Amino acid sequence: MFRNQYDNDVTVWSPQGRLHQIEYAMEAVKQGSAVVGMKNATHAVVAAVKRTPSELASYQKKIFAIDEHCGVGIAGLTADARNINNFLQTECLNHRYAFSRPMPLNRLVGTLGNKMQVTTQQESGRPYGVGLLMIGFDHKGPHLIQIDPSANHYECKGMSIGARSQSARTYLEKHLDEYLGAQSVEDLVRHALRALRDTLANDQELSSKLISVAVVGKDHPFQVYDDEVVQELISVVVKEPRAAVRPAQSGFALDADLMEDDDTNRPPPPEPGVSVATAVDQHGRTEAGYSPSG
Amino acid sequence: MGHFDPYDDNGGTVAAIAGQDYVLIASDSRLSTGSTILSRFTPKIYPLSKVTVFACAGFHGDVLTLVKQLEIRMKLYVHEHGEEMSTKAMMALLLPTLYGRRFFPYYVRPIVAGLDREGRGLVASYDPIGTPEFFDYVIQGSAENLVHPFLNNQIGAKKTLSDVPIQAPPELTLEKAVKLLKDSFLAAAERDVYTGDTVTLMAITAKGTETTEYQLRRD
Amino acid sequence: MAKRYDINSALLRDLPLINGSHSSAVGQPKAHTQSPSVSGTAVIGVAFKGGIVLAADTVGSYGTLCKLRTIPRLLRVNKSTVLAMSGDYADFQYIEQLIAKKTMQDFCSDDGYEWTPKSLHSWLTRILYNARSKFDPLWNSYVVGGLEDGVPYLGGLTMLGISYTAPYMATGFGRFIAQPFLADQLEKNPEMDEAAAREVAIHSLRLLYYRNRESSNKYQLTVVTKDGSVLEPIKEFEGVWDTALMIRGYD
Repeated sequence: MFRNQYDNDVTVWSPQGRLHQIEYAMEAVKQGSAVVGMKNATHAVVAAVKRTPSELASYQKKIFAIDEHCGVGIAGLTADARNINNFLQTECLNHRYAFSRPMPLNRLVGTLGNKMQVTTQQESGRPYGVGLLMIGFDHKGPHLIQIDPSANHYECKGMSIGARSQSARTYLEKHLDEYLGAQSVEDLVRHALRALRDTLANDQELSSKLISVAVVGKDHPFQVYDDEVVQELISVVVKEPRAAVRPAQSGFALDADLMEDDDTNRPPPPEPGVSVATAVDQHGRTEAGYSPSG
Repeated sequence: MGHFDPYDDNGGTVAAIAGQDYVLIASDSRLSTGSTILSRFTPKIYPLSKVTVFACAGFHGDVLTLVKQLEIRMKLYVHEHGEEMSTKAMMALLLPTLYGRRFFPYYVRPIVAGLDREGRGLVASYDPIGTPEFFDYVIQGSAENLVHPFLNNQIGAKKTLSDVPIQAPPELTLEKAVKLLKDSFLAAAERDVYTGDTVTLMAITAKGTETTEYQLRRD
Repeated sequence: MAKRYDINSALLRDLPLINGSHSSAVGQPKAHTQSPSVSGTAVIGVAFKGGIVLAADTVGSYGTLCKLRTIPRLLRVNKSTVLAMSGDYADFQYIEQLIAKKTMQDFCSDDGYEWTPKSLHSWLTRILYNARSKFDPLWNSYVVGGLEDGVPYLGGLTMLGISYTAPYMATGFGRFIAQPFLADQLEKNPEMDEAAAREVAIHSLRLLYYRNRESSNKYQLTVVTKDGSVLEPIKEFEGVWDTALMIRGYD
């Protein structure tokens, strides 16, 4: 692991103008198993690979409902995600209590961004170690929003975060027009499963135990689909041949094509530099031992 | 010096009957203040889940606030447990919710009605500070004193000398229960000025919820 | 605390003064407003096919004194939402400010999210209910109107936080005088168009003008249709007093 004299504290700048602690927090997202999200004109889906610390334990939850109109898929520290979910749920409930209607996604993410930003600027505590893909439906239609530990958030057409997620992003870029123009929710979910499949190790295959899928959209409240429904869609996808070449994992999950066309949303290009490479096996065990990442 | 009264009585009547495999809840839709009518289109009946319904007479400001609170508690429960709160749990929750405001009470006359996990009907009524009563049939609101004896006679078989066959639960059928509640509200509207306009009837069975409406006198 | 000697004290004899101005306030518990001062009387709301109309006269009464003759009691919130108020005018101005602040925040968010009649109705209900729960009530009744997803919405609200919806409504003295007329008209003509609804609303004000000493023949309308909302200029109708001569034995 790289270390230098400027990474002891989140409030200390490196001479290159970087905050290393925040970048390390971004690396925590990559320890978590992959999450894929995408949307078409009416719906948004999120799908995730679940992990279990042992054959004897249950699979860690990856997708959480926030309100009737939105939910999140997470990659990174599950415990941090629970804290964030609680905040998001409370925000949505308060908005409904006052206005009798769902909270717009951009405002929800805005309040979360404010909360997360604080942790990137004070020396006590640490940034959140979790990345989120939030899907939702509001007065502006379906949304997919990526949220980083750096407190940045990006509105996306399709996105993937977590372990080996570059493979999924490659799929999402290649099939952008197909899922954006998808005519049915089932088509959209199938695309999500294909993208997710590309993040799996060669000896792994999609299965209903391993995969969690959620959908939200027009007249479709946020719903996590149970094993049987997922199994039906999985059985179609697993019959297809797998992607032959899987590109190498890159440092940052920032692909301009997948972002919504809004310059203010576009992140800066990734800088070469700190990258934490840790081998993670299929059950989330790192070389050093079990990782708490989901 | 004027005295500010934070309460109002907006009248209205709500009632429920629990059967072996159904529960029936009814409310009129009149909202009044003093001798005037605010709205003829406000049924005081609020579904909280697929199998649980809340109905409430009293001060409508408190009713609306209480309903919002219960809806929030139901949602938080779903987030935490991954399933909707049972009717029994909601009945248990309402008690501390009301008693928590013991010294500035919600001026409400609530009913919780629903099916239990086995699909049997359950109803409970509460006083404004949360004392619950569990019975096969309950009635609350401005016409409760008029209708309660009728239901006692017809369902509870209290003090009955006549040879009219009494159909008490579990024998009481949904069809008969619907007729009894319709008669109850028709009778109430004849004698109680705060009950009238329309009645909303919700019948919950294992098959789902069926909602019907019928007219009462509007004077 | 300043006493109100600015107008004939005989007129004010029975008028409760606000905020503990009867007492010297020293050592007294904090006193909240226990009654309104300058107030507006009834407002009318009528839903028609494709929209709603709200109507109010423009008097600000101080007890029985017609203190202000031309104050608007209707508020255009945005293209889909309007508001009519009766009760304390200062409390209404406070609410106006709260709404303006929220509206500005919405505008700055630049996300196309703005007031709808239902959200304003819900929010105002919370404001008024919370105020009454603190024993510091905002002394108003409101009618919120507009189009909610293209469907006419008419919501009523009292100072205690009692809210309701109905296809027609009146506040204050209008509950006695205008509401029976409105009920009758909408029963005869349930598919009322805009012109008919305007006529019914104005006639309701006219009925109030004849029997409600706090009202006047100066009035304002606001209409919401799919083409947007319009707050119309203040107008006047002429009273027809011919029949007054025929009223005998009831006065």
